[in-house]
Parts: sequence; C-alpha cells; structure tokens
Amino acid sequence: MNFSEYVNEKTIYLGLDVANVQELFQFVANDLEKHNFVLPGFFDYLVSRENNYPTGLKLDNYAVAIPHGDPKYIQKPFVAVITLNHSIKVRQMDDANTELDVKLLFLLGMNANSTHLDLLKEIISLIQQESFVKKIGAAKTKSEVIKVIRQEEKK
Amino acid sequence: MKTMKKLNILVACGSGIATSTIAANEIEDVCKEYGITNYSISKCSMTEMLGMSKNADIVFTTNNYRGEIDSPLMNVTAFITGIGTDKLKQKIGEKLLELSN
Repeated sequence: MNFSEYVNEKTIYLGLDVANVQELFQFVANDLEKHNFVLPGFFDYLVSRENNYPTGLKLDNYAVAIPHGDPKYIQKPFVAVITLNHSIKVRQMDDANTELDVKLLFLLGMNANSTHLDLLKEIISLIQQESFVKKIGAAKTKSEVIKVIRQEEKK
Repeated sequence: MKTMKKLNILVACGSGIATSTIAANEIEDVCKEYGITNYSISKCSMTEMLGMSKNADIVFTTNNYRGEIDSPLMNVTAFITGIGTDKLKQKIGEKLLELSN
C-alpha cells in the first residue's frame, strides 16, 4: 500500500494556470471524471467542503493544501499531485480566517477501502518534508514526479 | 489502586476519514505513553461532531470550530503539519489523565 500506487500520469497536473480554488477544482474534477476516477458531484462536494472546512496546511517555510472528497464520489482511489504556475489563496485548516498562498496541492481521492492509516501517514510525512515538497514543485514532467515519490518511498 | 474512568474520545475532521484517522492514531499513542488503557476512540466528520460530542468526554478536531460544545475541545492540526507535536502530545496526555481520574 504505497503512495506511488495511487499516483499515475493521469492524476498529475503540472503548472496549471488558475485564478482560484474554485477554478482549480472545476478543471481537475472534470478531468478526473473523464478518466473515471470520480463520479459526478465530486466538484460540488470539494467546493463546499473547502468552504466549510478548508485544507490549507501551514508548514515551516511553505504551505500546501490537501483537499479531499467524500468516499462516495470516488470510483477509483487516487492521489492527485497538482502544481500551479501562480499561487492561489487557500484558507488554513486550523484557522479559516487565515489565507495561505499555495502552489502545491495533494488531492486525496480515498474511498472506504483505501483510507488506510499507513498511506495517510506516508503522505502526511512526505508533505512535512521541505526537500520533498521542493522537488515536486520543481518537477518539469510527470515522470519526474513519479520518480521523486518512488525515491522517497525507498528511504 | 484507583480505578480510572473510561474515556470516550471523539476525533473529528472535515470529512471524518483522512486527517482524523491520522490524529486518532497519534492520540492512541499518547494514551499508551501515559498509561491510559480504559478508553474508546471514535472518528466523525465536523458536521456529525455536534451530535456525537454529547457522549464524548473530550473532542479533538483538525479544523477550527467556532461554536460551543459541552465537552472540552482541543485542536490537533499539529499532528498533520508536524509542527509542535511534542508539546501537543504532552498537553493531550495531561488532559486525558485529568479527565480519567
């Protein structure tokens, strides 16, 4: 049960140009639906979820966001890795009044069977490592992203 | 030896599946560390939290919650960011001991 098993070229989005979270979710949800990862309704859930309970995480020198959908909209479990050309505002998980500038997001598409503690722990621990986050942020190609994740797993 | 009261611990996050799973696991570790064995731990989403908190001795959340609940409430987002977890674990351990005695 590894992080890399949930990431593939279809769930990696590099250098997107979007103005805000809503636009980002629209684009990614559409694409994921096209590739049968999610069911219709995923976009609406993501938006309302993020409005009510934001997922921005403030780490030492950077910020990431980990939006996730309700398991009922997930057809095939996945983790989407998303990097942006320009940062967007995402509100902070533990302080919804604070907005973070986010250029990297991990969209977690967990269904009931894939919400394994080990996988979540692995993702969270990688997000906490600045070197990992920097490498993903600097990746130019999808295969580079997959390589970085696999390398980290071997450690 | 004094018997400890059974603690009902509730862990809530936005969806009730991801960050609450991580936080619940960390809280179990704290219980172990502080010798707290008589407890049950359940997870829920923030929308279920208000109703479920009625039966909880303490509620932990990874999101901020502005409303009022009857049980003590503690934010545990540090388990997700990894920042300040040692301090948080100590705070949780001491609070749980206080509640179980």
